[in-house]
Amino acid sequence: MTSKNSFLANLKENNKRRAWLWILSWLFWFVYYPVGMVMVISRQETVRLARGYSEKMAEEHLLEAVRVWLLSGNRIYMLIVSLIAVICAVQGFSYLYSKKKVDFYHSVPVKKSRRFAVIYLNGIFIFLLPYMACFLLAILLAGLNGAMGGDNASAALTGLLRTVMLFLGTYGLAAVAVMMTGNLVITAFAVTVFMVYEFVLRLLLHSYCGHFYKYFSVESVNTVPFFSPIGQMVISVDRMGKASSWSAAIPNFLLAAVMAIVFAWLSWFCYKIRPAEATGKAMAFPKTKGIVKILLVIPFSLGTGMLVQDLIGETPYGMMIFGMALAVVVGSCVIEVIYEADIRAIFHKKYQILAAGGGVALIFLTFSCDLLGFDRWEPDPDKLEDTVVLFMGDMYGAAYLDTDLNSVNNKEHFLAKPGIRDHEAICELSARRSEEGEVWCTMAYRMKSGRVVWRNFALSGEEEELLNRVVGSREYREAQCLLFDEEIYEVIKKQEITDFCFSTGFWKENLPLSDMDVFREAYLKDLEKRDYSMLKKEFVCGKISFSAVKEMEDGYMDRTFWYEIYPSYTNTLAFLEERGLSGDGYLDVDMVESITVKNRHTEMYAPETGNGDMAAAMADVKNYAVTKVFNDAEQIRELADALYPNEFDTYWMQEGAISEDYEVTVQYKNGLTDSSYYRGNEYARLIADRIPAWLERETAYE
Amino acid sequence: MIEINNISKTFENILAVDRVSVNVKENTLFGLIGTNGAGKSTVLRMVAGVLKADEGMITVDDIPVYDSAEAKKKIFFIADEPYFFVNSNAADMEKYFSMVYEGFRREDFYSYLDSFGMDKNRKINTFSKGMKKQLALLCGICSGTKYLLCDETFDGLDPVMRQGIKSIIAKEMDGRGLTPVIASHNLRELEDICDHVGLLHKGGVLLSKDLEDMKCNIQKIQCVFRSQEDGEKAMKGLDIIRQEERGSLHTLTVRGGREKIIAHFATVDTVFFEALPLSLEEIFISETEVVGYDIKKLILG
Repeated sequence: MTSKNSFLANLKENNKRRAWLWILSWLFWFVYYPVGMVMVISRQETVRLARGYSEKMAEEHLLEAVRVWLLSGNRIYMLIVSLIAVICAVQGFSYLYSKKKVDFYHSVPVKKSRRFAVIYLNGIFIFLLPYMACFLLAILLAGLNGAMGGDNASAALTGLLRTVMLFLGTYGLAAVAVMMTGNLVITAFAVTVFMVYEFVLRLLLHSYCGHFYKYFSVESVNTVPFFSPIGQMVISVDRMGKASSWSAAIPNFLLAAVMAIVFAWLSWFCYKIRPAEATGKAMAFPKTKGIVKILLVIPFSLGTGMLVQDLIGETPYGMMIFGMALAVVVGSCVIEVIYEADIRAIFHKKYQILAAGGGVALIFLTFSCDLLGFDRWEPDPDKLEDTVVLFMGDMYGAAYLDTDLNSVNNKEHFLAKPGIRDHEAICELSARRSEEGEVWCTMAYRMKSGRVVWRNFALSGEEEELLNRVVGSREYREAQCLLFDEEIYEVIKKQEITDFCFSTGFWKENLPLSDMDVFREAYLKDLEKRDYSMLKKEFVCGKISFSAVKEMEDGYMDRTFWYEIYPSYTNTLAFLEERGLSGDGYLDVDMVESITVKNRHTEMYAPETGNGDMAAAMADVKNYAVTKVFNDAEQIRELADALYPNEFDTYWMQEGAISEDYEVTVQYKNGLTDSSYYRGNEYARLIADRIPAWLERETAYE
Repeated sequence: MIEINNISKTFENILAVDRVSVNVKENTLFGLIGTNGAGKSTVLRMVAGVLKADEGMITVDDIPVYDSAEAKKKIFFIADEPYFFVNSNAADMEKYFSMVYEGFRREDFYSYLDSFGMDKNRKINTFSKGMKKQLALLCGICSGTKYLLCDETFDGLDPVMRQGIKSIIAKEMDGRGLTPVIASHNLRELEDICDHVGLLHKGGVLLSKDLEDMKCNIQKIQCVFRSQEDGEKAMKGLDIIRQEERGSLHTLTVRGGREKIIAHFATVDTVFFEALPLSLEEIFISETEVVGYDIKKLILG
């Protein structure tokens, strides 16, 4: 038998005051898990019937759908769990906002530690018991429907861990917010600040780096907060996705567990020392007021300054500084008014305004004068492990994939590959960095210490030898071309392959699927010739492409791969020749009825805009453009020699190699235009040094 | 005994309680008098262990009260606006108090509810302000604690109820040695029941004395002297606190023992003299005037 004032009796008594939250929690979890699971299972049955899946296929789909549901990696789900955690914490300790309730609870003979533990644990139980019961019920339902095989048990465990850790961390954080504040409105504000503060700081940091540092790379931007339960869970989902294993998320779960313990202890500590007179006030601890104010005003002012700068765009930052100064004063005054709940307090604690202003000034100077030497930094070859180089225009159609054929962004793809180890070339290139140049590159210097330093800069096209050492390096080649990846290639081959063909940019010819391996072998050999010098001077003469059809949960998705062929790619050209195809000439002039050329006369805009700005020219393009249609066979032949299909790459070419003036459209002879899709495109530009002399005359502006 | 030793409390630079030292003896009824803002509630909240004193110390039977469940077992605090759980009734409150106060007397509680005509199942949020205070008092009385701290609890009770509650308190004091501490801004509320009175003003203690001591040590004499010289001779050597003249009738408030003062007047040539009973109000007026305060402005309004 338990004593009248036992811990259990206290828990029961406290729960009487929290009945509505219990009901809400039960309702939510019941709808989310058992009902949700039934819906997931029945949806899969509908899909099976609609698509006529075989039994095995249907089972695989069901297992996958249930696995995703149990994993609980959805961001909206995480937000809802966080919201429940905040509600549980605030509701439990909300008595602290009322003087009447504080007088009542704090005068009765119940130890502070007991009262805290009862409320804190009950908040957890309100979440955990309905969640666990409904989660187990959902697992039971899945099991009864044969959907708990395979990885689903570990998915359920991962989902459980993720949910519980997220809840406990956010719950503790919200409890700290309650302890530090004296009313609901300020608590809500504090919870929001706790949740987004690191995110805002990261955004500000990147915004300032991007604005003030010449060589800052946006690729280094990571706005996911580290010291946040929800941030850790988001990272855990990404890690698990990449590693295809739940164990990859263990460090995040452990970190979230540590955060949950720290926040729980911190909330107890604050509860223990919280003065009863804090009720109704903005801040429970007067000593924290100044610090909190400064910590809020500094990012607010820096953000305001950046906003003003973005709106006005003036240098040397007069308006930005004014904006920051104003924000410091306004922010400090508003917070002081909130603290004291008195408009007359607006200019109290002026020294805090000065301190915040000093902080803002110091940070502004750090960035604007580059006090930390960001732009002066150069890699030390002795400390460099390897370097990942990204040429943004040389990415593989922005379509790198993982072994499940899911898209992987360019940065992640390259970072997962070995970097370039030619430190001498890398350091030399880095030393020759500039803000202007033909070739823009992003470097991720991976140091031996594990640190990754990102820089983005331009290089002169004249650095041919150094660029060849980078672009022509085996590491860069293998990272740049997905075809090198044996594992992914094998996965691709297992899919349904469609549209394996050669294209000249205007015309397509299908290739037999059985030739894919031969093509791959030839093409990979040719890639050894790929370096900056080759790319700079050669025009793409054709491309080989194919599509892999990937089955998705709710349909199919085509993954298309294409490989551009240069005149130097002799092995690939030989492969084509063996199949009666040629990379000589893009267009068969016998099929062409006429060619329409539009001369945009960009030179006409230069005097008006002062700088020949293409954007300005485009905005007013109708004024000067001259369009002519050419039917003459000789003219068509001469134009065909100068054509460069729109779909072919120009990234590495020297500026001006392709004329910006002309837009070309090819009209095919009767009966051929209907099947233009299979032939490819009909739009092109002109290679500058092959433009016939008569074309300029014919399209002159009068 | 509750020992309040030199306690101070400041709220945002406002000194609410300034070095207050008062002792509340067991089995006495302590009246804490003061105007609004005098610091009564703050003192009581500190005694109840809700607020922590910035300086000084409060002990309940030698146990420091703040943060001590042991000390709080001896105290029941009724705030000026008592709190009851949302949607609760008297029975719900009894269950809660039965859990936290080991000595809560359930039978007495329901018996008192009956005698005051209160329905144990009626929702408290339908009660009038006076009924809520009455219920809080019954909870406090039945809690079995040694000390009952009441903050303006008697205000709002109708005279019949007030008398009823006072008689229960008197019974509890006799029966089990209950020690109530009653804070009020109204001197007349406490006149007939207080054993000891503490007067708070602007956060400080103006006066703290046993009522009997005060009554015994101050006498009110009405007399008529035969001549001016007789009067002057009679008043010589007396510690006169207050003096009024209406024609030949003199009313004197004099510090000193009753026998001694009567003996003094017996030796003086008077037409007539009489010792009159003093009200608490008159005692306060006299005592506070000495220290330069006008009690009428402070308390009596």
